Amino acid sequence: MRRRDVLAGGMASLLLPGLWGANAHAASAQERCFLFLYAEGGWDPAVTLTPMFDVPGAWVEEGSRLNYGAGDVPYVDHGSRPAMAEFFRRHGAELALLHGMEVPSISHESCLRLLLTGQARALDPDWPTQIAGSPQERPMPHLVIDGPAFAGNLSERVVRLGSEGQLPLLLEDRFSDDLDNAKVDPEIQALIDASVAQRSAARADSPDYLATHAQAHLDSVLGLQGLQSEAQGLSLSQGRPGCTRDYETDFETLFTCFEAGLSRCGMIRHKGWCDQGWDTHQLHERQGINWEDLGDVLLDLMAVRERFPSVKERLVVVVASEMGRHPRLNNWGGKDHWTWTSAMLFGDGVRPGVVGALDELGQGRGVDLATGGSGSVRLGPQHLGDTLLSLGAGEVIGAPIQGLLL
Amino acid sequence: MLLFLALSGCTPEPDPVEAQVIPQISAPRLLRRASLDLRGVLPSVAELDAAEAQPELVQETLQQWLVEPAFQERLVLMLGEQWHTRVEAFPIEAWDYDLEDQEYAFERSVGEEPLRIAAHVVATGQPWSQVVQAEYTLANPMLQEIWGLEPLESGEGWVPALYQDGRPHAGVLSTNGLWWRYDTDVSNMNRRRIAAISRLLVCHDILSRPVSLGESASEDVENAVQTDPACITCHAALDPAAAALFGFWTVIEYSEVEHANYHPERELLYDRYLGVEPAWYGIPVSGPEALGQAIAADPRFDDCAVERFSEALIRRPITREEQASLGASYQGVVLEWLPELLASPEYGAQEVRLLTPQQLDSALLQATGFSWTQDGTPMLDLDEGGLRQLTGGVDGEQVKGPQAVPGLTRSLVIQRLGERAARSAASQGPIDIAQWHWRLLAERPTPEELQDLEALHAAVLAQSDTQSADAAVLTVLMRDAAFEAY
Repeated sequence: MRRRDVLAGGMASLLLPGLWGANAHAASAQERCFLFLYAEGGWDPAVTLTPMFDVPGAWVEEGSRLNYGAGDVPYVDHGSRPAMAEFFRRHGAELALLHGMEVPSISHESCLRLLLTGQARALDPDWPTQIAGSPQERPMPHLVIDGPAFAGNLSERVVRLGSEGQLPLLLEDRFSDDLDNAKVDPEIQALIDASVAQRSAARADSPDYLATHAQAHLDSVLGLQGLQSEAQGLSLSQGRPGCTRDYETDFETLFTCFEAGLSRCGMIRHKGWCDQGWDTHQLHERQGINWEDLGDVLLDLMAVRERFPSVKERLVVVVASEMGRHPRLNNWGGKDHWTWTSAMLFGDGVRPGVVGALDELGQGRGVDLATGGSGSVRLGPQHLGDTLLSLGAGEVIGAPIQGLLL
Repeated sequence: MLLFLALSGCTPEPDPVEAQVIPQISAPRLLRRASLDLRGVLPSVAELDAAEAQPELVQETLQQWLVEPAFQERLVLMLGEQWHTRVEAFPIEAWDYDLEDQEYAFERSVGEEPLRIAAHVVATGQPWSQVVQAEYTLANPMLQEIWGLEPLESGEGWVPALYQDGRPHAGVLSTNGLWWRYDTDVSNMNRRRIAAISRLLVCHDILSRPVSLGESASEDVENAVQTDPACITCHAALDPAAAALFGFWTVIEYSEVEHANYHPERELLYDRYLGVEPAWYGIPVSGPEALGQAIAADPRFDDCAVERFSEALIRRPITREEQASLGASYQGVVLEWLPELLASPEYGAQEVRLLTPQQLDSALLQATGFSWTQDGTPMLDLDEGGLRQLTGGVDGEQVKGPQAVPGLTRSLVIQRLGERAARSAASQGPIDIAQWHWRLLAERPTPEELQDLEALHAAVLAQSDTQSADAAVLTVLMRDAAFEAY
């Protein structure tokens, strides 16, 4: 089989300019794109998201008070967190807050896997990988700007930008190295690409035990060729790491890929202020600093979203951490892990409001999945995942929190 | 009879013996697989020719490779995918030792310390139990310098060495490298470390158990670990074992002195902070050395060795049945058992494994003389600014398992790598296309394949020079589906 023949088939669609973005303005669920903003290390929702003023014995930050943002969404306000207050004042009316979600582990690794896959040990792909779709639909289905990904058996869907933006450097072949590099002539490159695709196509059609692998190889090679064509001129930069991290650039890169139809899901990690992390077994005051930093990041996100109107109308944002923190301070001035946490969602198809609550022990109360009101179901990551999968598919998948779905 | 069965719509019951036959790859491809696993390089043309001519001698060749120094290096990398210690973030960083210009070397030195012990134990034919009982660590000159270790042998590489800070030596259980990767803090008190060694050494993943906290956990979490049934489930095993490691307990963050040194004065603090006596799953122990002995005597220890090394070489999770069958001849010495594993149908199965970034690097270095480096740092073994993650490699933090199917970024890295390596090879003189096909893929080209490659060569030659045409053909072979699979 010649490359010409290969391209005449179904995979040719990968190379059709603009096809990925053709339906960018459609309002269907399949067009929704998803941003996962992950706070690494275990945040303390009590500092901002989940008031614990009614939990006897719970630590309450001096000077904090219950306040209400736009849409009367309640949050914990403190004078040292103006960015967070501004975020609630401006955008509270579109937020869905999920309280009392039980992540049944106290280990970061297990909790993270639970949060993103619903299972502690199984090697299933995470929600964004599942939602992202195949590379045949979009060449970089789940674009990990920074952070975790559990790809499971769908690793072809996960594309990493690289901690220092290695992906665009590779695409443009301007990766700095110890070799005096001379780029391959474009015409010769086309001959090589055609030969590679032809050999894979031939093997994929053969009874060779490598046939299935060759087909996947061919898909990735053709997807890559399509991306190299489509990504020209696109900015795929990554924000600086550390104290001066520029999340705005991360959001711009992701929304650019959403807008161009190159990706459907994206992951960005928030490691706390100055990358100090959220795991505060000591120095619990770092939580307040982290939340304020996250407030800045969320305001940046909203500002960038305004610049991408076609993305805004189909964007779903999930902000979560793998675990919560215990209601009380430990003996070391910090807080230990807690299996109940909160998450925040907003965007297309998400009904604003508050689902779930904490009881007098700081543990999750049951909810009614149908309404989002109180009920008997203990909320867990699987419910969050099913909600996201349903938002992505436009139909009920598993047991979503239907009260969160518009 | 068959006609009758076909006409009647029935099919014969599969022969139970026949159903268990695992299709095998060819002898040259098996040689290639083992060479990449055991040496990290492609077999030479002469080795491939020999395997093709006398496939029955392949296993003999593999056994010889088990005693080559390269095998020890490969063990470090294979175990690194499971132990997750070859990371790029530790609680103490290179600049703490004024080594900011040697960050990669520092991170790999620290992360490989426990892996080097494990690899040394295996490659020198010692019982696997030595991994938790060796009375030394392995250290290179950098670790000897920054931690003040006393080498037991001379040499520039990794040699047996002793800590001088009073710590008892118990193989990997006494290494800064393992404990920096699995760091602890004031309230964790070594529990994370016990969870890690339980997973790594007896294949018991304590942390995968679901935890559903009760009322008492809300009021006093530190007491709840001994009173709340949900907590007791794990802490009954975790806390006594963690108590055996209190000399390694760190309470000050970001302190090089705190993390690099053993603290004998803290050994007995377990009583005050954990309130339990040291034990490994009910077997009383008195410290790291006794903990190592108890782990080695754990009935799960041998089974876990079979599981871990089988998965390292078969490169997928193995079933219980496979573990029982593969481990039937295991007697506690991994090196003596490995020939059995390499000769097993599971190892030679027609299953696809993808080359790791490090295998790609070492294989192409040997075949073409090219290694992708930046300021001397191998790009395919580096995450921060490098290409390990993008090639589908395990970084030990965000990526815990190797990529199993081709993907876009992996293809992109292999494309750029192939272009560079091909140019390097082509610069050394004219190429023989059929020989390179054989060398790189362990497959003889079919006449049609050869014709197509020669046509490509001619097409490029028409636009450029011989070297570019040679490089183009080699790039195609290095980007071939059969090259990245093994």
